[in-house]
Order: sequence, then structure tokens, then C-alpha cells
Amino acid sequence: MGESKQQVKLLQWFAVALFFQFIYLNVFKYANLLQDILVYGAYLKSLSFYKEKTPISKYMACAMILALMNTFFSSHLLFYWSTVLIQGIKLLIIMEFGKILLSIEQKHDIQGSITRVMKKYIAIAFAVIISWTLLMNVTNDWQMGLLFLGALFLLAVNIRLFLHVLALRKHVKNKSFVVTYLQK
Amino acid sequence: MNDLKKQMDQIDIPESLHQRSLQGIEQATKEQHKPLHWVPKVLTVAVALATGGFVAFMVGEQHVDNDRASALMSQLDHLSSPMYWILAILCVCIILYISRKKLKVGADQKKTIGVALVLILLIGNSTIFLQHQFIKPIVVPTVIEVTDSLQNALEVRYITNKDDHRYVKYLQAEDVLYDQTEQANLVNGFYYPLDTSQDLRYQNIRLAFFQLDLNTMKKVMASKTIYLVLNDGVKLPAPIHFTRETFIDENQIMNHSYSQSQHDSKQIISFTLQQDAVFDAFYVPATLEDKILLKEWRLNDQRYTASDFPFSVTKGQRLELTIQLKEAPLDINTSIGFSGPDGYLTIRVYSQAYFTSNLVKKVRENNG
Repeated sequence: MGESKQQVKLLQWFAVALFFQFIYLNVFKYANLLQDILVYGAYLKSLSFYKEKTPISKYMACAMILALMNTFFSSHLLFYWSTVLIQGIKLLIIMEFGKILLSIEQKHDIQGSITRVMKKYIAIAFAVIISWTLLMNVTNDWQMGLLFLGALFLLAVNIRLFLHVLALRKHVKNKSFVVTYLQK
Repeated sequence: MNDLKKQMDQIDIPESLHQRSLQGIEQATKEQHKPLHWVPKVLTVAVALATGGFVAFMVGEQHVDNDRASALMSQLDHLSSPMYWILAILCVCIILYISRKKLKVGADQKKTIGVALVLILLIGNSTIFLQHQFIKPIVVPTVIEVTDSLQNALEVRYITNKDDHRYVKYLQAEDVLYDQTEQANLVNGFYYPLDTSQDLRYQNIRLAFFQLDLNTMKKVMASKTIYLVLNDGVKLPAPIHFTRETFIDENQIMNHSYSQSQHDSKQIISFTLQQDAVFDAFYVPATLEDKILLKEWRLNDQRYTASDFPFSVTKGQRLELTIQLKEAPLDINTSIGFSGPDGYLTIRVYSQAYFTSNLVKKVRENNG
């Protein structure tokens, strides 16, 4: 039952990555880079248990380049663009992981709710990204408000996905345990 | 069962018929793919057009700028324009990536629409953002009355783009540079300089502070053009208008006075006189006559207007003057009051224009 074990590991590291994403640190200089390294490291670790091809590592490279550009060139316009684009790329990564989660659920015949969770995640994250495209043309108070609200919404959907992934991991783990027990 | 199979094999299907059925299948698959393809294509074209407009806008702005300020060409802000180009090129790259990857696959329509929507919004918003940026900082027009005291404090405000990290270092007049007294620049996460006096949507209004003795002041006043020089050497023409009316101080009527500003740019000034006096006119420096208007004055709880000149005031009486400052991009530091045969009754009025987006537009137009 190596496959189940690998799936458990994959889910575990994905959960770790989501956990590191809970706090939106883009407001502080350099702190966001540390966060990115932690999150992408966990993603990579998680992906090492997945055999099929995904474009996730390409997305991560794009996001990392944008984050570095934002750190080294300080221009307001670049900040707004990278904020939106990085968040968009992060959403794409989560969507790819959603596909992986779906395949795991299907393999274990779980009447899972991952499609529902992902639908909500995508809708809310997309709304946040859209609202952040307006950041450059609003007053300071609105900027802070939009950033804060967006970060709050992202936190909420991340927590929801995190809980779902934990539940899925538990399920897969229990099932694999039962199977190994029966085999003995 | 076997019989049926034999029978089926025996049936001779004409070659032409077989080909036609193959064609039909091909056409059917084509038609099935068609609706999947046109939406991303249209969106890509829209994004490409928007990007083209964005680039054209950038080029256009540069040309306008070059024509308008040919004399100041060497001082143009070259720093930020490459950034716009990098962004535009990045945009084109993203579009190429989408059109190559996504259109061929054609399956992820929703994702393509989402990406296109975000890109269009980003480009549109950036265009608005860039339209509101200044080519270089602008100095707020200022009227200052110079006093005869040893040190004259000069406070000049200038408007910079929010991400412009340069600050005013010198005042230049007659090829002499005068240092700014103190300069505090704070970079703290978001760049927000300490000398900001007003925080607008796209710009900061910042303070430059100079202290000049009377001799230097006279030199500055005598020079034709005054510049504020930024720390990177860019000169900003400073529309500072100096006045020096020594006769006001010499003929000042003894009084106690204080002023208080009110909303909608009204100011109320109170004088308590220490001698009898007659006044026959409202006094403002000549350059400000159409910017500061006499609204009314109050004496013994009675209201008077400009038609009531001349009037007399006795010792110890309180005189309340109300003036109206017209909305203009103008900072004022000058004496205002009454004049008459006995002398002048004035007080120094400080007024800094409160900048709305409308007023910023006005400053920009005046500067162009």
C-alpha cells in the first residue's frame, strides 16, 4: 500500500504549505520572501510524492521571480502588478492541487466535497484578485481596507481548504491502515 | 451469431460511401471544437488591443512631454519610463504565453477568461494611474512677505508622485545654493516621507524649509528665477513671489491681534486697538488683490462691508475682520489688514492651499 502512504505524505505536506500561507505577509518587506520559500518548499516536498506531470513548479518559478522583482525594484506600479499577479499564480497552483486532490478522492471512492470547496475557494480568491486590481487608483484608507479584507477572505478560504485536506488525509490514512490489516 | 457476422462481411460497402462517412466524422469533430475556440481568441485580441493602447499611451505621453518642455529636456525624469516599457513588454509576453498554451488546448476556457479579465483590469487601472502621475515634481506657488528681522523662514511646498523618493535639497538663486535646514526622510515599509503635509491619492505634498538672513534674502529676491534643486540635481522652477513692504511695519498702529481660520477658507482676525485711528481701505499686497477678498468687519456688534469706508476706531475697541481666501493652488504668508491716514493695522496671515484632485489638475495645467 505504498500509494496510500505516498498520498498521505502528499496531503500532509500540502497541509503544511497551506498552513504557512495563513498569514498574508506581503505588506512587510523581505518577510514575504521568507514566507514564499517556506510555502514553495512545502509544495515541492508535497509534489515529490506525486508521479504525474503538473505545471505547478513552473508557476512557482514565475511567482518567485515576481516576488524578487518586487523586492529589488521599488516602484508603486510594480508593487500593484506583482501583488495581483502573484496572488493569481498562487490561485492557479491551488487549482492544480485541487485536481490532484480530486484524483485522490476518486481513487478512494470518497463522496468528497473537494469540488464544492474548490469552487468556493476559486470564486472568493478571484474576487479578491479582482478587487486588488483597483488598489492603484484608490485612497490610502481604501488601499489598506482592501488589502486587509482580501487577506481576511484568503485566510478564511485557506483555513477551509486546510481543514478539508486534513480530513482527507485522515480518511486515506485510516483506509490504508484497514487494508494493510486485512492483508496480514 | 456467426451467420450474421458472415453476412455483414459479405455486404460490400462502396469506397465512396466510406469516404463520405469519414468526412462526416471529421466535420462533426471540427464543429464540436469550434465553440471552444472563439471565446479565448476574442479575449486575447481584446487584451492585445488594450496593451497596444497602453503602449501607445506611454509613447504619446513622452512626445507631449518632449514638445512641451523642450527646454527642460535634459532634466526629464528618465528613471521611471523604462519601468513602463518593461511592464508593457511583460504584458505582451503574458499574452503570447496565453495564446500559445491555452488556445491550443482550448479546454480551460474559464481560466483563460479569468486571466484575461484580470489583465484587462490591470492594464486599464494602470493607464488611469499613469495619467495621474507627474512628469516631475511641481512647486506650489507661494507669496511670501519678507520681514526685516535677521532670519527669514521660508516654507515652500512641492508636490511629488508617491513613489518619488527624491527630496528638495537646495534653493537656487543667482547661481548660489542655499541648503535646506533639515531633511527627514523616512522609509518604512511603504515609503512615506516625514515632511509630508498632505497625502493625496497619487501625490504627496511635501515641505521644504529654508532659513535665510536678510542679505541672502535680498539676493534671492533680486534674482529673476528661483529653483528648488532635488537631491539628484533636477531643478524645479519655483514660482515664489516675494514682497517687502517696509512702510507697513514702520507705520503700524499699536494693537493686540490674533487670527483664527474657519471652514470654507474664511479667516477671522481680531484686533484690539491701543490708540484711536481712522481707516479708509482694506490692505492686501498687490499680487493678492484678487485672491483675498474682504468679506466684512464687525465693530460694536455691528457688521460693515466695503461700502462703509472710511470708519474710525477708538482706543480699546475690538475690531473683527473677516476675509475670504479664493480657492487657488497658492500658499500665502503675508500681512493683511486695514490702512488709513494714521498708518496700517495688519496681521500676518498664513494660508496653505488645501489640495483636492481638482486643484492638483489646475497646478498641473498651469505648470504645463
